[in-house]
Amino acid sequence: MIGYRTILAAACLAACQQAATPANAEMKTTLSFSGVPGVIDMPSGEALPDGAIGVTVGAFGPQIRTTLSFQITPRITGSFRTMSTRNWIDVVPQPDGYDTYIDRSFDLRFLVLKETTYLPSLTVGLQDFIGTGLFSAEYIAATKTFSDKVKVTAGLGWGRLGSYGAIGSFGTRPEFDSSTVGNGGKVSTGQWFKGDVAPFAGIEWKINDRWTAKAEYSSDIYEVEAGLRQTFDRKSPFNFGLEYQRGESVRIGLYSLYGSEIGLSFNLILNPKRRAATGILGAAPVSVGVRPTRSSDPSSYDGGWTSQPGNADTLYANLSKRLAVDGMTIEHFSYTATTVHLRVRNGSIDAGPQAIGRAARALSHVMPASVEVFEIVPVVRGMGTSKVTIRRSDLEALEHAPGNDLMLRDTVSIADAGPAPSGGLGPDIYPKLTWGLAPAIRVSGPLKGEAGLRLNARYEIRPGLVLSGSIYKGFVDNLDKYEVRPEDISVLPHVRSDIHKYNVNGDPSLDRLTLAWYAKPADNLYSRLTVGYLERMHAGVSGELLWKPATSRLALGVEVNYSKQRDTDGGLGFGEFDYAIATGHVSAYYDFGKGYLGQVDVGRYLAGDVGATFSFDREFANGVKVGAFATFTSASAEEFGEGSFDKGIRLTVPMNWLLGQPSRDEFETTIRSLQRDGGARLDVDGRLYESIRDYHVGRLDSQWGRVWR
Amino acid sequence: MGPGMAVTSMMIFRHAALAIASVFLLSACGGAGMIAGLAGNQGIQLDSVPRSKIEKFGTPILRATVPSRGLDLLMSPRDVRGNVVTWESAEGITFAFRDGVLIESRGLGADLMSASGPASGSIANGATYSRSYYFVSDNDQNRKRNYTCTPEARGAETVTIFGKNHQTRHVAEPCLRDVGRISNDFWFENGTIRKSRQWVSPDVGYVEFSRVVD
Repeated sequence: MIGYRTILAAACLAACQQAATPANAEMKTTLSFSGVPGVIDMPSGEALPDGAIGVTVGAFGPQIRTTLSFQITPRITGSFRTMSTRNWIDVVPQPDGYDTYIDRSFDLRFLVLKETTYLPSLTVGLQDFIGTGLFSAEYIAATKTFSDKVKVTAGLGWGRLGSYGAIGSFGTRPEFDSSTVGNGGKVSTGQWFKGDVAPFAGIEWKINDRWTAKAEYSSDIYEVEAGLRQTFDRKSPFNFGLEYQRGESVRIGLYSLYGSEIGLSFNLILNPKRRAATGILGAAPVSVGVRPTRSSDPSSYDGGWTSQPGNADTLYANLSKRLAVDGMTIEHFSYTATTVHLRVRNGSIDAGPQAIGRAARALSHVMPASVEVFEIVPVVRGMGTSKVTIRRSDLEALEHAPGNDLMLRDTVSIADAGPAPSGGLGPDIYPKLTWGLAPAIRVSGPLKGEAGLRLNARYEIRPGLVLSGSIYKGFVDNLDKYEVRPEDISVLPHVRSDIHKYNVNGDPSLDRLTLAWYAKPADNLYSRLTVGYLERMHAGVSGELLWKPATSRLALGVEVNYSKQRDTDGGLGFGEFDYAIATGHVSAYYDFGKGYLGQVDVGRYLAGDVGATFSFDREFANGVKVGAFATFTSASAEEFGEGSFDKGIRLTVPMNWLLGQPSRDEFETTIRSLQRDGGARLDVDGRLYESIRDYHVGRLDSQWGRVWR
Repeated sequence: MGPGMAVTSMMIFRHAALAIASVFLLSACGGAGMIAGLAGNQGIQLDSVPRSKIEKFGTPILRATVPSRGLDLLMSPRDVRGNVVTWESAEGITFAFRDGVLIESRGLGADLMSASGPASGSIANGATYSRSYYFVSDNDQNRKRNYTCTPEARGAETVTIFGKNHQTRHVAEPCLRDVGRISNDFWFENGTIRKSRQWVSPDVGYVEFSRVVD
């Protein structure tokens, strides 16, 4: 899913959103060098607006920090950071050392108090709470705004943030051993709020809507970077800065840090709730058709038309033409004198209710007057996902009524799709070939990767039976800069960690070539069977069964796979590795409402390790989705290597959110702290839950306001 | 448009013709104008178009100007449902009016999805009434706002639309709710709305409509 869209997404994220939104007078929450709500290098007591995504790149002296922050709920903020420090071994050499030290860390913050007229906002934060621990700190920070011009922050820090100017001590903190960087990945609760505690403080002055000046007193002594390894000189605890705000989202800062260094930062705060493209664009729908009066056309009311030869073909053709305007195609069409059953495939409208609304409008123009009930079944990969039943007279009566979306929802029923009625007309689009060529990137490690082209092709033999493939050819790379460090060589089977070999040797590579069969064996039950070259590194067979009633918040699934590891050259062979394994999972999915989604998968992973993956996502009605996952398996922290266990963040941005125009394409990316061999699953295309969920009640209701769009 | 206006296949043909003509009329600014407009450019210079060219379309014409989107559109009637008339532009943007009062927009992004409001007669009479707007807001959700409106007569004004003068009565319609206020404007010519400036949503703001050709 990464390709030209990635480029578009990156370009548009910056350009589109800020064009759309008006200026705001109040003092915004700004991000620190570490990408969390803060002053310069110190955190503040505030939170971002609910749902906001912050991206920060900060650089000073030898350090570059890149942080992704997400306001998970109105009070909880999560961050993931990559920090690189140059000149790491200039003073303290290490055997097999690396000049640039790269560390990844996760933060979690909780807003205890929201700012009021008299009280400050108050936040408790954990910095680097499951990383290697080099960056670990805990803090309590309070921030108060005065007359929308001045903001004052004061806080207490432990760990790193308690390392300079301590005023007391809370027991002893387990020492961080700087000479050997551990695997990290452990939640070191025993360390929290222990050891020296030091105060920090900062002030922000908003000069005007664009410029803000900042000053702070830092309680971070940079013990390892400035002390032990002397990568820079920390002369003073005072930092100063000037920031420039451009539009709603972009902020650039220039700083004097620690009396010796000049710092630069760039940050982008995006609000996923506001579409980059100002809203849902695309042409207006046609009006609801008007039925003739009974006296003017009695035959359309008496049902006699159902027995006239040729009528079915004419209706089919007319309906097909109307649906095509909105990128929809017929998978099944049957009717009685009073009810029409339409199974329809939606190729371009991002929101299910809008597609259903447009299909209903099309039916209202095509079907003779005696047809009162519209049964619309959205079909995905040949599977009917749900049956939405709309009464035609409701559609007619509510078309221009105030508040008509909820009024229509009250009269509509949503149920399992059930089998298609016997008889009727099937699709006329199979076999169907689609293909595309798009720019693509492949990544071996932080800032190490390549760019090239990807050819995707898809041949749908009949509904639910799909032959598809994907070929990659690289053009430019910096893979020669990639170092495989001895400690990175995995002791587990190399099911993922040889990615660099796959990238170097597999150019061009056949990344995927599969035959997939989707079906709906019973009510509420969906199935998938995929055979072939499932992904870049593994080939075999993958079967899945999912139970998901259209109106249920809960779904249960089981997946069983048998796969062999592929050669690194991207060809068809299996000679290089002698590795085959049966893997599988049982999964539970739950929709908590308001866009919060949870998932637990328990089973056996590719390296033979056994365990569970916990995932949590927040999905906005417009399709933007931000989530995190963590996998705990029988592979020990030592076996796993750096990071100790598999974890990461994933982000989905619909093209429609960026461009406004009808499209079901999405940009998806997963950011892992490190991809290792433990906790790895097959990367099979077209898993069931995400395939069908768009047309089930939770998702339909969150987007229902678009049924009249 | 008169109440008896029929929407026939002829109208669909005319609409297609209008779409083509618009492209010709606006040179390269037709379809592309909309995109340029969304980027914040004032793409289309309708003011320089002579009335005679617009009248040649042979269909009623409504001009809609959306400052927040940089759009300046010529629209023709698409269909009539009771007292609701829907107008459409060549770009596929529509506005629906109930008795001349805007109740829906489509294609502006933060659209007005539905609305309840007064009949044009109530506006002209100056009675107090309530209005509800349902518009697309953050996260694609429809939000409702209720207002209480009391129209105020502003006296006689001459309105010039594409070189033609109309003697109108200007009525402002301030609408209040607890935490905000909007104000629509209507210019009545012999009891029907010749020109208006009506609110769509917080993001889109106001749209100005003028009936160019009846």
